[in-house]
Amino acid sequence: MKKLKALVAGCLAAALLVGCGGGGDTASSNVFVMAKENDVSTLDLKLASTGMDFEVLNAYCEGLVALDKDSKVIPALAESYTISDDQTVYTFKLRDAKWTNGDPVTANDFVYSWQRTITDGEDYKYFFTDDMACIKNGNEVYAGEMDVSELGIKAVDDKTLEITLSKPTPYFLSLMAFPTAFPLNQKFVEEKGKDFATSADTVLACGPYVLTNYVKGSTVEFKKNDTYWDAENVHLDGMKMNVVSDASTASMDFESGNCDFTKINSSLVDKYKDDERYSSYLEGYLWFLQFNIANNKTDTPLANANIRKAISLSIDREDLCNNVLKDGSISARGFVPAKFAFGPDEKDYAETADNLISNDAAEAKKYWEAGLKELGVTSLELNLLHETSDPAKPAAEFIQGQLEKNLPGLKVTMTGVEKKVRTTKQQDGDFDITLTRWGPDYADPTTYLTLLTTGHFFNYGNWSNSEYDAKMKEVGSSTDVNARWQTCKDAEKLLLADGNAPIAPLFQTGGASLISKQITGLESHTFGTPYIYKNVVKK
Amino acid sequence: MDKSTLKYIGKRLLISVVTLLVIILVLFAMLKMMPGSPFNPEKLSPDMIAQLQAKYGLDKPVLEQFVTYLKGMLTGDFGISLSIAKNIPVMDLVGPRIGISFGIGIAAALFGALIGVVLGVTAALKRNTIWDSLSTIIAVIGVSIPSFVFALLLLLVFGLKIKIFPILFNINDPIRSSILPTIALSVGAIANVARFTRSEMIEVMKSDYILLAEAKGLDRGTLIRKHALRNTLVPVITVLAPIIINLMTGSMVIEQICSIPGLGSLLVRGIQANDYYVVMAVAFLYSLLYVVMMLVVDVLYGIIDPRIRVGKGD
Repeated sequence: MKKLKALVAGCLAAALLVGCGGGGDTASSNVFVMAKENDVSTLDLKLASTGMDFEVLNAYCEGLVALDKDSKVIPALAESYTISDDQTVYTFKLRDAKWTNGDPVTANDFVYSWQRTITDGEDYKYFFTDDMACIKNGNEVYAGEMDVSELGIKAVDDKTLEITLSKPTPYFLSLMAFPTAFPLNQKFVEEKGKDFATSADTVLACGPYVLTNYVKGSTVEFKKNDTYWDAENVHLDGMKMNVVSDASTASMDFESGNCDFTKINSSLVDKYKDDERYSSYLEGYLWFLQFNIANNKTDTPLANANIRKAISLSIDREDLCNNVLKDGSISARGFVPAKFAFGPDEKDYAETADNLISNDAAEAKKYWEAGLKELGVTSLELNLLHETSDPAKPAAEFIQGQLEKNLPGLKVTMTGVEKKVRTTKQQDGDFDITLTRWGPDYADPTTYLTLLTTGHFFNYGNWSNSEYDAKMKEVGSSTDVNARWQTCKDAEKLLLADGNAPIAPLFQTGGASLISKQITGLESHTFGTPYIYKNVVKK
Repeated sequence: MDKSTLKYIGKRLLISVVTLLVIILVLFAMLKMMPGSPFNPEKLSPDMIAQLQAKYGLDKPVLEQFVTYLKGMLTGDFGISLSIAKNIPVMDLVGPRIGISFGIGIAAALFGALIGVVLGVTAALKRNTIWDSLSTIIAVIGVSIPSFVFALLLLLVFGLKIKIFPILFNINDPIRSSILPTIALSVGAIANVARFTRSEMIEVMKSDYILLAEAKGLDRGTLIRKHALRNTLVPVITVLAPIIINLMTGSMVIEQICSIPGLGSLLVRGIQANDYYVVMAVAFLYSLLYVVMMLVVDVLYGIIDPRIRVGKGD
């Protein structure tokens, strides 16, 4: 027994000794340390699809242009560009930038990268088609009907890149800051073969930072890239992203001073909302209810416009954002989120468009009763499909409460599933109402508005309106930027007008975060790369 | 080793292999039946999803996929990740995590067993005293409070307030960063082992041979060490086997909370992302461990105690 006791005491003493030795890594040096909820899913830009992938790519690589803190286009690897009179040919003049292996960044690096992605890419393979960047022959090459060499991108010489579009595309330039459009050093990629972009030493940098360490599921580390063309304006010595999936742990890590920046979930907002380190970044995701109007070509009760209108009217979105989500989310004014698309007048689309969303419980009840009468029933049971993560779960529970309170005779049953199951169920038409979202691919209202055109894959509720389709077609073919902008607004109005509204827009997500007072210059964006770190300064 | 022992071992081995095969089949079928897809359909059109399915051979009949997978497995190819670490071989993801999870698990099991036995023996020998009550209280707390609550508490106290241990797992300092999760993980084991040891010890102390030993005038220390403890520990080892495996395969929750890049957190991410082959590989690894452990226990039993073989007619 004595021996046993001695052993235990020994073990404890040893544990304590180990515990006291060595200091933890601190966030005190000039390294920006972040806690990230998700890991990087790939370092290869042809496969990249998540916000985290884009953030990492954007830290060590760069595009022809970049976005400033207000999401306006600024020069990056291209020092200047010209646009043809018909707005379809863009000629970029590249600056003298270098890859970290010493090679210059050339026009061919872009051609190679684009051709590689459109032939063998995944989620963003459609980047080059008319659904996104509108590159000439993009649709045909994507579909395999044309050789990849026909894609509208050409290296005129080492420093001149010519890109031809299929039609004038006002948002094209901002898309050149999207990581899928970044260049790749062909020699390096081919040399690494299968191993390319699987670790920190199998990628090449041409951006503000160099990837120095990548431990899957744990950490991503960078140091400043001294050969970067704008190195004098990069102020950090390095960055470190720790993957921390638990929000409580992340906030403890932040409190301990080992972390400069972390997102928090709504359960922690109350604790921090008056803290000077609390901030909320507006994100591009717009959450909305999508109604299943026709299932297998038969109308559902939700085909009744009064029923849909009643549902939309009965939800108090302000209450939802301020008292349930509490993470800086704002209520939707239409189907296009705020602060992401700026028009020819340089003004925010959402701010200048009409507010198309209202909340009025008494009105809702009137529409509801009229709807029930038209359907010839006195009660309805509807299923609400939602995912079980934040913010969908609390939002869905709130919506269930609002609907059942304000619409007598309505019973809302809930189907809570994982995100990937929700999207699959949506595709299969297996829902009455789904709480879904869309994150913008590019800075233009059409990234949202085209979703509800007839036959679009995202139009899960099978809504169809020829007038709306015609309006969207007009937007697509318009060459007058001012008229086009107005047509977008008209189309949105038509979409959400009485008798239409196949959706009920709810809220735009806010990213509740904790950021150290030492940090300035962190730039957030509502589309493409969520956070850009080039201008971060740590005092 | 005599012939019957060999026969017994051979039979156990065969059963293990069959069990594993069945497990792989069931796992594979269940994964295929799981709703959702490894690709992110939120942004993908149905024809793009179909292209991706074809690219990775997921459009083929399930049986064909199963045979292909099994063939790959026999050559050590466990497929690639489709979602959480695109195109990276699953073994490259699992490999580095095995050491981390196993290390923490074994440490937690040993620590848990040690403290558990000490608590249990103390409680049994000082029955109905304050020590007994104290040990029972600790055991009850250990069983009833989930380990992740302990983990958070430990992180709060020793990571944030007293700052002697890191809050996040640091891959460059694995020993120091493993201590808090190890303690949190071992709490359940401590409680289970303590309860079991206590009741076993009480039984043993009542038995005739202890009485005989006492009557022969053996001093109490030797009596407990040489006779009581040894006989108590045999059944304790039986309950320890599943505890060890449980802990070795990593606690999914503890790994999430302490940000440990181990097998448990990989499995959780894999399941959330419908990353078939990642889930398959980790789940298979778990099954393999269980089966091997059970095989070892069975064989050891057979060797130690021939009655088991005889009793079962083997």
